[in-house]
Amino acid sequence: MSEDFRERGRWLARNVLPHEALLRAKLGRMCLYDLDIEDVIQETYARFMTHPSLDSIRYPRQYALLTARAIIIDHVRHSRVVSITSSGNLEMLEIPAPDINSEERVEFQQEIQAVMTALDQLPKMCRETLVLRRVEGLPQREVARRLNISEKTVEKHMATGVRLLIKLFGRGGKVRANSSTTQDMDCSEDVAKKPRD
Amino acid sequence: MSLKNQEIDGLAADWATRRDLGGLAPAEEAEFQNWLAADRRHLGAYGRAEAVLSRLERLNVTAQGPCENAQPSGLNRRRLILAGGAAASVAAAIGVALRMPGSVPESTFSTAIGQIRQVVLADGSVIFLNTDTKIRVRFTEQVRDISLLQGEAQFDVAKNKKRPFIVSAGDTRVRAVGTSFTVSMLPKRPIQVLVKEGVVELQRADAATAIPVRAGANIQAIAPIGAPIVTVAVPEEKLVRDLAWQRGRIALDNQSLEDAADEFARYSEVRIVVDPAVSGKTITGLFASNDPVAFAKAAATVLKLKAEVRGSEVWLF
Repeated sequence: MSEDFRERGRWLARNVLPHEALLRAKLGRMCLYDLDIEDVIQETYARFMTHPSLDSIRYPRQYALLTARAIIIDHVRHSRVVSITSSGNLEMLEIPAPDINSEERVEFQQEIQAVMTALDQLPKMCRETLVLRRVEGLPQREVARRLNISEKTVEKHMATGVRLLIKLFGRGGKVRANSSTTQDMDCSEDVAKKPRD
Repeated sequence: MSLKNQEIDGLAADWATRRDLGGLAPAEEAEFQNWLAADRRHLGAYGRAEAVLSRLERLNVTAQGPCENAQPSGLNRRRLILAGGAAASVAAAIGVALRMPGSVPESTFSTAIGQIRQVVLADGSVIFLNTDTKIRVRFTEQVRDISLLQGEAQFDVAKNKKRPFIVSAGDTRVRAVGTSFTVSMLPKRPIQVLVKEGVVELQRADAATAIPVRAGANIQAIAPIGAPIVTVAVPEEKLVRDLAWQRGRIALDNQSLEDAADEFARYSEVRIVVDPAVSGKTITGLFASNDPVAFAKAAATVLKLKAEVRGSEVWLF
């Protein structure tokens, strides 16, 4: 089980996490009545965690967008209420199938840059523990020894680092709390009542 | 972001960190499983936290560059990263190395006994090096040329039809375009190729007339010295077993204690010695590859034998 998680985590790191900011931007532009953008994203990840065969997914970025869209449609079907702002609708999540290759694989240098930029924004100890553990691959004890802190403190700094990186990677930029809630509030204006099927 | 979701992300980060740092005790694992099952969103959040940890491994690149030969210096890279504000300069350095015209950059990567390592190449392909393994990487415009000098490695090849990925092991060449396969070259064993995904083509380097052999998913190709390459189908369970090393495990399926001892010898300096009096007994199970003593104790319990550590050896009798 835990091995499977690790494997899936690795797959997600390569295929979905680098695109989360894009997914968020696409979702942010469509404003759906009572559906939290974070819930959609978490559910998207959950579906990847339970997908029977990740290896069979050929275009993960596209697949993530389609999954998010399916989650929204499911929700819309269940609630029978749609709220779509004039600036966006479900079609915005539809990506044409061809011409994927160029974008699917995140450019290697771009990826390195993205990871380093995010690391740079972490507090020093969070960054050091994460680099020693995850980049250098040192055991916890050795990380603690090198930084002259307790093993427990290593865990604490790492966990904080992961927490911050979830936000940084997810938004593809600076850590900012509540970045999506402002968008949610615009929903009140124009509400289309007709359900889509 | 709702407060609730932020809390979930925080807990997911805690769990992923604790699980990364070392196995959870059974009670903690149960607690973790309960947490996962409590709310569907927990699973998604946890998956993302695992992905965050994995994504950091991307920096463990040591991209090919003329300046980065032999033992890639992790320390220098780390110092640069830790210098703060250094992201751009490191990326620039990698960029320069990748764009070096003319010369063919060559790098070697290796693992010590008991070590497993992931290397991401400049084209996005990923190589997992098993214990005591050495590879050499040479990329040109036309071809991605890899030599397996010793040991075992899995290659997850980034698709590029115009630039084949060729792994040479001894006299055998394995050609792939975009696929996932493992090549092993171990002492006293034939060269073996195990294909997880896609198709590869095998050919003997010196025999121009030799017919190339194709191997698809779940096929193992064996290239014995002085004999033709043969292929055998591999059941899914065996595939999983054979790739257990990537998670630091040795999977044994009704194997003799001597075979098990040989397998553990690849991963640790501590040797398992099987007393001839108990030879021939077999064992099945999944074991931590870096802990031969724990294996010996487990084997002793199961087979009603005794295990004893004697210096740098552990005896089964």
